[in-house]
Amino acid sequence: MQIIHPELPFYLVMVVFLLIVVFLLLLILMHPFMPKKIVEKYFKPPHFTKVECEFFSGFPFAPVRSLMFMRVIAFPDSGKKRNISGARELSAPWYVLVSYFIVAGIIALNVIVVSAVVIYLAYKVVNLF
Amino acid sequence: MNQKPTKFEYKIRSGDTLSSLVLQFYMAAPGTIRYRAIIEAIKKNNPHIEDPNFIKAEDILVFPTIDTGLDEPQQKLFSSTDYPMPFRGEFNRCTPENPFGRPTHSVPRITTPFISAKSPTSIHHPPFSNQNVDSEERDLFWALTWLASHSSEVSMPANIFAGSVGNLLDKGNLDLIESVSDSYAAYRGGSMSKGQYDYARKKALDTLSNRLGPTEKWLFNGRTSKESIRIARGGGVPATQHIKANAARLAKLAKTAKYGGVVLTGVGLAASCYQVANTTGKDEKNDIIVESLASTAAGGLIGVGVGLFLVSNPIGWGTAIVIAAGSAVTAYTAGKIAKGAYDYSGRPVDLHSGLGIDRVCK
Repeated sequence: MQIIHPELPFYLVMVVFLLIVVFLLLLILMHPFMPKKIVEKYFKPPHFTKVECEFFSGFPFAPVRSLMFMRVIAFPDSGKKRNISGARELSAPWYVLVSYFIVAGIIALNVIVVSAVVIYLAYKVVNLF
Repeated sequence: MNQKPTKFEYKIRSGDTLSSLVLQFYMAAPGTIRYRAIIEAIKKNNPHIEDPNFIKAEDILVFPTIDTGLDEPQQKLFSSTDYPMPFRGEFNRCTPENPFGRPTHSVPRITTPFISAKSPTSIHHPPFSNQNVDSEERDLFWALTWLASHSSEVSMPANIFAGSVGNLLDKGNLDLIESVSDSYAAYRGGSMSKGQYDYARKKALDTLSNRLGPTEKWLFNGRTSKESIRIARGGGVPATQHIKANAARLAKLAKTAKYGGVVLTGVGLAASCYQVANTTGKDEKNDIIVESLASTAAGGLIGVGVGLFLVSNPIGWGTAIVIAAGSAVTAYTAGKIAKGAYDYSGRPVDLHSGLGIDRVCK
C-alpha cells in the first residue's frame, strides 16, 4: 500500500518555495510603506550604528531594515536592546497587522526550512553508519 | 563483415589531463552527468589504471567510441547527439560571440575509430579539437568550466566569509569602537578622569578583542584593536582621527561584504544557467533549475531571518562564522532537498520547457 502519494514531496517543496517567494515579495512591496517617522526617528545612532545605517540602506538590504522595524512594530518588546519604543504608535493599524503577518510568516518559514535541513542532515549522518 | 570498431587507443602526452581529453574527444565538460558517464566508460575500458585522474605521459588509454558497455541511461548520456564529437578541428576560435569556441554548425557523428580494428595497438594521435585556440583562452575556458562545475564549492566558503564579516561588523561590535571616542570626549570635557577613561577604553577594547578573536588582526591590518584604536597625539590631526579612520574603513569593509554576498549569489545563478545551457539531458536541466531556485530562495529567506535575529544580538567571531556557515549550508542543503523531492516525485513538472529557462540561458 502506498502511504505517500509519489508527487507529494515535490508539491510540498513547491508550496514552501512559493511561500518564500511570496513573503519576500511582500516584504519588498511593504518596504516603501514603512512609516517615514519610524525610519527618521530610529534609523540613526544610538539605535543603529553608522555602519548599520550604511549596510541597511539601498539595494538589497533596505527591506531587511524594514523587517527589523516590522518586528519591533509587531512585538514592541523586541526593541528594548536598541532602545526603540513607541514604534507601534507611529504605525497605521493596517501596517501593524501586515507586520504581524510578515514577521510571523518569515519566522515560520525559517523554522520549516531549518528543520527540514536538520532532519535531512541527521538522516544522512545516521545512514553513514 | 565490416564491423565498426568501438574503441581507439591514445598515447598520453605530457600536459594531457583526463578532463582535457574528455573535452577533446567527447565535448563533455567536467561536473556534468555526461562527463561522469564517459569517465565510467573509460574506467571500464582501462582496468589497469587505478586512478584515471593520475595519468602519466606515455601511458596508453583505451577510449570507447559509442558502444561503451554501459547500461542504457548511461549509454544515452554518453552518446548524446547534442555535442557531436568534434574530432576534425571543429572547435572554433574563441570570439565574443562564441566565447567557448563551440562548433557553430552541426557536425556529423564520428563513428570511425582512430586506429584500424585490425591493428589495435597502432597509435594515432587524434587531431586536436581546439588547436586554433590560444593557450590563454584555453586556460580561461578551463577556469570558467571548472567554476561553473564547482560553483557551490567556491561560493559556499566565499558566502561564509562575506557573511561572517558582515555579521562581525554589527552594532554591538562597532559601538565599542565609537564608545572609545565618546569616553575621550567625556575625559576632555572634564566629566571623566584620566583613570576612568583608561579603564573605559581598556574594557571596551578587551571586549572587542574577545568578540573578534582571531579575525582581529585581519580586520585591523595586522595590528590589534588596542594598537589601532588610540588617540592621535600631535601631527596636526584631530585626536579621534585614528578611531574615525578605523570606523570608516570597517564601514567600507561591511559594504564590501554586503555586495560580496549579492555578487556571489549572482555568480552562483550564472553558473547554474551555464550548466543548464551546456547540459544535454532534460532531466538534468530540470534538476539544476530546481536545486538553484530552491537554494537561492532558501538563501534569501535565511538572510532576512538572520537580519531579524541580529536586530538586538551583538555577536562574537565564533557565532558570526557559525551563523554564516549555517546559512550557507542551509541554503545549499535546501537545494539538495528540493532536487531530491523533485526526483523522488518522478519530475512531475518540466520546468526547463515551461519556464523557458533553457532558452534564456543559451
